[in-house]
Amino acid sequence: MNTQSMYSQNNKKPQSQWVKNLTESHSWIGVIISPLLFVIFWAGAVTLFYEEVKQWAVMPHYPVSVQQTTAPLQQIVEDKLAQHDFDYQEHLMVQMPSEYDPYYKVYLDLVREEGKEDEHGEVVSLLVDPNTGVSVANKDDFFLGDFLYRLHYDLNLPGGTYLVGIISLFFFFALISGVFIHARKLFKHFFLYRSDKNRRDKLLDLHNVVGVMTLPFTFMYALSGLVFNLAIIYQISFVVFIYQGDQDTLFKDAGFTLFDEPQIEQTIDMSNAYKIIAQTRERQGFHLRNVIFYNYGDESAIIQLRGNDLANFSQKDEFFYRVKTGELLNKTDINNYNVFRKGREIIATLHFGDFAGVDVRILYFILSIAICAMIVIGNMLWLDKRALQKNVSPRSISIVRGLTLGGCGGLIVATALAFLLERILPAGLQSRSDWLVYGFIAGLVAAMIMAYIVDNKQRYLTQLIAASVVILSATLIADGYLFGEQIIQLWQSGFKAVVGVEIAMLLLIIFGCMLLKRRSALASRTIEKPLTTVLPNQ
Amino acid sequence: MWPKTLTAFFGGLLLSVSIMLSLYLLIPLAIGTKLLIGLLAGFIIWVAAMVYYYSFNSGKTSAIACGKFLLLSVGVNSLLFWYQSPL
Repeated sequence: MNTQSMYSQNNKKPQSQWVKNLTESHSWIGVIISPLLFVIFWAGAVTLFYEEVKQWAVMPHYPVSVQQTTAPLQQIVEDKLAQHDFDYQEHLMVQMPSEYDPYYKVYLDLVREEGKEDEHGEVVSLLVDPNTGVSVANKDDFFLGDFLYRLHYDLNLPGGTYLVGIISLFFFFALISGVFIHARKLFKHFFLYRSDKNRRDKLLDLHNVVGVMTLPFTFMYALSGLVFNLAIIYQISFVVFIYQGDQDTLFKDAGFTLFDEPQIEQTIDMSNAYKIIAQTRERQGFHLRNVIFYNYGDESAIIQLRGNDLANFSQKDEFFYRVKTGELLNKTDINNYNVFRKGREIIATLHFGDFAGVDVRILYFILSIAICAMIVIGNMLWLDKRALQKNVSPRSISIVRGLTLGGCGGLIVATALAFLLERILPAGLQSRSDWLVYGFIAGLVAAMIMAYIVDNKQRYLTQLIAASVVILSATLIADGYLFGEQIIQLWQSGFKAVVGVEIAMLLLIIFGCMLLKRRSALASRTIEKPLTTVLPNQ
Repeated sequence: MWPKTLTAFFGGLLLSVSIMLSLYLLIPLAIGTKLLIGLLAGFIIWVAAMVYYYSFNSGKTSAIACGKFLLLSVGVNSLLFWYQSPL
């Protein structure tokens, strides 16, 4: 939120030195973090519809009939154990079907190879048809939803979690410094947008208006992002200074129950576990999300049941049972919770916007896209200012312009391309998820290279929008051509998210066409009456 | 700007850890509540310190201000750890 030009033009009160220093830091840090911050917000905006995107990707390939009876869970689990080399020292997790996702997901840790006992072994994640109990695919084969989610929280990079945490920290700084910079006019110019002023003032107003109006939302996102990605710093501090190295006690105090009992090595029938699961699923106002088995098949077996209390805001219940006796070992519910854990769950609920219907997530999506726009506008302001300064190297301006246009615009094209690939790649293709990632990276890199090659930036932007519209249109056509019948059948069965994603794509295509039409009209006016500067240094 | 950034990042981190530990020892609440307050306050203090350190004209003046606050905070912490057991 660079206000220097406003102050210099209005010339009412001189800006104090510390505000000038903050303004300089705000711009400098904003430009440095902007490419990655855009990636985080863009991927986060799409990830708000994670379940819908997953359903859109998978369900047309393997439609599930809700009318048919479901296979018993015990049979499903024991079939999978017989089919895979499960490491019985590890836990086994089953994600239960939901209104969004009708499949069971079974996660199995396989026995580690000789000599690699200390490393984390291979984990298979199976997508299981609830009617037949057959593994229809590996969950990771349909990678689009998870790829975008990981892009949001760790950029799909090793150590990316911490990098995203550091970006969140500097984003938080940019927010607070922005408030100080804009403080005098925070309320007076709350909705100010001077459409009659020059380009720089218009951009500045837009940056400020979006910044002020989204402030509670961005404050929540910055803080929750830090809690998810950098809490390890304070965790280490607590362990070292308060708990004298005893991490288990810290986890216990933070409300995380740990059961680490050794195996007795006497086998038992696990039927009792499934009776407990069936009873829990029938509980009123409770949705069972997943079941974790510890020491499966051993006398020491314990099951952990986790789910949502549907009657209370952000209440995640958890129960531990000893399988042999059916004894309830530990429970977390509305009457019995840890403040730290509950607080963290509330932060997560606010972050993901999953506390109400799809309308709240649409609102979150609009706000996230507005923040993406604010990031780009911030960079444009920086470019405008630097273009007027004589001692700035053209190379640094060129790099920032290329990153802003190619990186941010290219990310949108690459996401559209990833959607197309998710739809057209055959379900049984070897390394399917890798192809999707390669396609995404190729799209992004191509767009970034083009940003440095194409001189006319206005034409380049038009080309990016046109490319996104064409790719999304191809995705919709592929949807209808390859899976038209299945999608209608899914709609009739009540799985409406597939059509929902298609409607969203159609709306984006219409929006893209409107933008193209507007840009074409602007371009023709520019030819009739040439403007000297549309973008600086163009 | 880089010297100020280093001071703001690392100085802010150390100050936030130090104040967070003091808060933990001073607040007479349940452990779960203290942990939650410590976590949230830690990040807010870190960012507040960054804003303060960036508001100086140079990296040197910023580092001096950072050092003063850190010394004060570590002193308070040492006294608290001296007079009471953390758990």
